[in-house]
Amino acid sequence: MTMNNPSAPAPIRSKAADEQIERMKKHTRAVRMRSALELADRLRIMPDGTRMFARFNRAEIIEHWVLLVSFSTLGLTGLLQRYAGVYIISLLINIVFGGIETLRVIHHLAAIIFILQSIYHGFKILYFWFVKREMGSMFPMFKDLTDMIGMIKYNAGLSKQRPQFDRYTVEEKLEYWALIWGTLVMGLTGLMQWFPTITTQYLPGSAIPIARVAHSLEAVLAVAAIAMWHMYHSVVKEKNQSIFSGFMSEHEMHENHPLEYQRILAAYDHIQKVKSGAEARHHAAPAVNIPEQPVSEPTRP
Amino acid sequence: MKLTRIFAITIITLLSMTVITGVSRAAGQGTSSVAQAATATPVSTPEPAATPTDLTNIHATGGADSCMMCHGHKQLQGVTANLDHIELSMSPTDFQTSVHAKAGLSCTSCHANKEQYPHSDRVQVTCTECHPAINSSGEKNAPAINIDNLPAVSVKVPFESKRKMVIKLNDACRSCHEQEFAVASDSAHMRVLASGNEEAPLCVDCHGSHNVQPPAQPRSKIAKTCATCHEAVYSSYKSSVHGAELADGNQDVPTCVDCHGVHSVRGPRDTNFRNDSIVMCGNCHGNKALMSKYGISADVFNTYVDDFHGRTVNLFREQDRGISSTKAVCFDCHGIHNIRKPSDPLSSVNPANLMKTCQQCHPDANERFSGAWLGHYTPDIKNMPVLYGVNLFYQIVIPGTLGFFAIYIALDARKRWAEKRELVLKSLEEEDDDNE
Repeated sequence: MTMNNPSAPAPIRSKAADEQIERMKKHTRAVRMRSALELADRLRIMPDGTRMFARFNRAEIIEHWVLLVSFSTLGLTGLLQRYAGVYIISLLINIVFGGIETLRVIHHLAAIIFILQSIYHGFKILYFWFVKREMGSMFPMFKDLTDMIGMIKYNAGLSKQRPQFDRYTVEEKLEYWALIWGTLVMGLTGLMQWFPTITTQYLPGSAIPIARVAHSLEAVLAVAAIAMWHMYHSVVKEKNQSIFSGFMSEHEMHENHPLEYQRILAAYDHIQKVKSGAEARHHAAPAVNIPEQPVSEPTRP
Repeated sequence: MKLTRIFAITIITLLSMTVITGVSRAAGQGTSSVAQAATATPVSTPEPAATPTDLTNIHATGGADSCMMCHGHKQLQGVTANLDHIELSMSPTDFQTSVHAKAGLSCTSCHANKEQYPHSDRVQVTCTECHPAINSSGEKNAPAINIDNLPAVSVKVPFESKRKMVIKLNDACRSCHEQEFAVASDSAHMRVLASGNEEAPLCVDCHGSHNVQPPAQPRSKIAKTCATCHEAVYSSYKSSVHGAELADGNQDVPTCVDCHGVHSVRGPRDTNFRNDSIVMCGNCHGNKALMSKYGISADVFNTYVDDFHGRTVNLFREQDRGISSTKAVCFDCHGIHNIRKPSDPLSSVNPANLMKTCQQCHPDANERFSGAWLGHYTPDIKNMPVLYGVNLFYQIVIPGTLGFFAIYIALDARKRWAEKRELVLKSLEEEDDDNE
């Protein structure tokens, strides 16, 4: 663009170009305002004055419930099949589930729910990327690696500095990506076994036993990971109920998500200021341009 | 011994005939030359029956011998109500060589209600049918007769049909072979009988009636006995790897009864037959000592049960609820009676035929599909490198990941505990300070 040429004198812009720039400024301001509003909206002041932070919306809570139920069902019915050679297990399959065939039907039903949920989540990611033009707060960053090392160092007593987390802690992000990996492996190998004749139209026959082994072993990894990692960080360490209630206390926010906490407070203050300014203008009548203030952060990292 | 007795009897018969009545029909035929040769031997009276199985002593009282008085007559025939023809005569040697004769049994051991003559059920034959001269000479002087030369005698048998008679008589086996009889009563054969098919095999159809021989001597006889009815199955078994080996005298291979049971004969559609069949095959094919004789892997059962089909069928078997699994069992792939070596081009599991075999259940299967079955091999780096790799990957990743998790969690928990402890100690100190 001519604007970027340092030697040239200030360009004489056309009226049309000026109007375009004005429109873009207006748009950017609106986008910033929108995200500030969204962020500020997450701070709820209760009647007793305590501050609660909206962490998950209803769709996300439902998503977690669907995942919880289908994953548990898959894990249970799957591991029972894996260890069906053990007599007690085969007895359990018989008595509780009415036989291996019923068990498989339940496993397949849960798999369908799980896959549909995963597809929904995939579309949600696409929506974030291409409609909202945000990376999404689960997007892996270099900071995550340094945070993880930082956490280990801090916990081991090698460092006094505790890493500061934003919307998701590094443990939560690891959990999320483990789930994505597990879903891809389990979904793919599961469907391969479910539809072996279709699979062998594209892959050699040995793909089936390979899928079987991978499915079986990945299942152990996935269930063990959930049982250890997820259970420790969300239940044992602190009873984080935000995925069920949708809200998080100020203390928890401050403790585990300090960066997000600060962003929300900043956005809240900004919006309050804007609101009071607008009210003042409303009473003072003359229209004044809303001063362009730096919104904490335009996009989530 | 036997011959001399027959000769003696003939002589006595001849002598009495010449003395009392002169010419009888029997005297002129066949035996005269023998009689003349034997007249030199002085024989006064017939020897009493030496053993209970001596069936030829005519007019002896009681025991098997008296039965043969009539039933030794070659043309003694019975007619049932529906005009079935029954051979009532029997050769004395028939019974004498049987296991029952050797065990000391006699006719009435089985034909228990026939102890007296006339048989209690009805008068069958009158004296004059055999002794036509009795009327003129009086009963006491009844002329001796040659049983072989008697005219055909036909009697009514108090049964509706021949088969009905056999079914009734077959019950006699029960009095000694109670256990076998009870087991057989629950067999597929007896169910066929109960459904109204009288052709279902009874004890005597397989074991024989008078000439019962010890079972499985030789073993190859078993399949031939079954072949009496199951002809098509036998011809396919004969050409199978098991049947051919059996014909060669191999005692290891299974014959009909090894899979289907002896008296308990189970139909292939019987409850749990299908589910249990895997163990049936596994009994031999999982036996290392036996299989090593033929260079066959003894892992076939374990590898089968480790795989999808086998795991399912085995669970159905353990559940034992009378529901047959639809998943493939041994004989679905290897064939039932026509089992052949996998290297045999006619075998259903020969690589050339494998796809077709898979298509029985998986109609859309293509050539690559059959490769999904590892052919009872335990996957190793040589035959399944990718599978081996995947396995290895998880052998490292699972303990690696979980180990990392464990260390991370342990550090985290320790730190949290330490922080809390510090807080507690601090507040305790503060409280103590306040108290002072």
